[in-house]
Amino acid sequence: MNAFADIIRKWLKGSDDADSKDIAKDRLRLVLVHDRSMLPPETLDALRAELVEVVSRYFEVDRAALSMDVQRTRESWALMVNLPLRRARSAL
Amino acid sequence: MDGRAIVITSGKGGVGKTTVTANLGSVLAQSGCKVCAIDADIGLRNLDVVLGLENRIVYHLVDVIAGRCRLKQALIRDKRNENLYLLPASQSDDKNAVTPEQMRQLCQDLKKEHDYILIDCPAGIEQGFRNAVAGANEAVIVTTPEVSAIRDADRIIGLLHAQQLDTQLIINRLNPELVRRGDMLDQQDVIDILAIELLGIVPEDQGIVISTNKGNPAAFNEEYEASQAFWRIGRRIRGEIVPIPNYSDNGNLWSRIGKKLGDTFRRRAS
Repeated sequence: MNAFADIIRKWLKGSDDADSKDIAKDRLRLVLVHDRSMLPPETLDALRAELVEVVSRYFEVDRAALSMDVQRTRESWALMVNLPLRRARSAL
Repeated sequence: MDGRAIVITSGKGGVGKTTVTANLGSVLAQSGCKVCAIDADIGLRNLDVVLGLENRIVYHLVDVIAGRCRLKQALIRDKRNENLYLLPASQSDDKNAVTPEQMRQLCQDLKKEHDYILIDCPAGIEQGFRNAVAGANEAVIVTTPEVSAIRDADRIIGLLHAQQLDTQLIINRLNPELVRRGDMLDQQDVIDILAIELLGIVPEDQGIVISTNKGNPAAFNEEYEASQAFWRIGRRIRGEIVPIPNYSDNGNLWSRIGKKLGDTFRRRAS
């Protein structure tokens, strides 16, 4: 129903352009991801390096594919880390 | 008596903190609660003119804290409502004239005599903000549906989280026509982004400008749409469950579709 309402609204406006409020929302999301991390870039880099180091003790990992993000939900803040694994390190 | 101390804050300036403070103060007082509104913007007093009480100021907040007068002497009773009091800011001192500990003590004293203490916070996140927040148990964040105001509101929410204050949001100056056209963030967009509980929405209303010109808060003039919004918010603060109108509703969608179709055919025909 929402998608339908969007189509109708665009038709009423007479253009296919994205609503300016959607542009605003996307821009805000990006800015806030950065603002919310609140840590200086050097600290974030250090955290990233240490995370990789710890996980690497147990798994072979794809360092370049690591992504890190601070997200907030209604109740909490969360550090979202996505680190693709190649395989577990076999015990010696 | 053990009143509730609520700080009205925003981060960004000019989004309507003082207007919200004056109107909520008026609404709560009209409902029979005893209210004290504190102007915590030391050096840049404003709440007095919005309430139309600028000619009655003798003592101010810094006088009370410095012990130059008693608290009761500095409180100005509103001319329209005997339940509403203003504690004005000083014009001459700077923000460092007050410490957070002194603000805490002041709010503690006021809570004994009032149901609600509304603290009008200065813009920014510096000393003035820390002072204004120090004595509060709850926070109301005011934002307009614009990127700059929402970004700053998010900063403030982060800071208040750390203080463990119960925090709610008021979206001010929402323009329903722009929302319907898709050119203004609607309430759901703002809530999605800020992840915070919504206390209310105040639609953009010329009545606010007119009533501020006169120094007579819009809440005293119930025909204004913004005034009705403030009354609903006041009831929610007092614990009533009052629905929030949905301004993104395309109430007149069918009539707009009909008009558009008519326009299109007329253009084809000519």
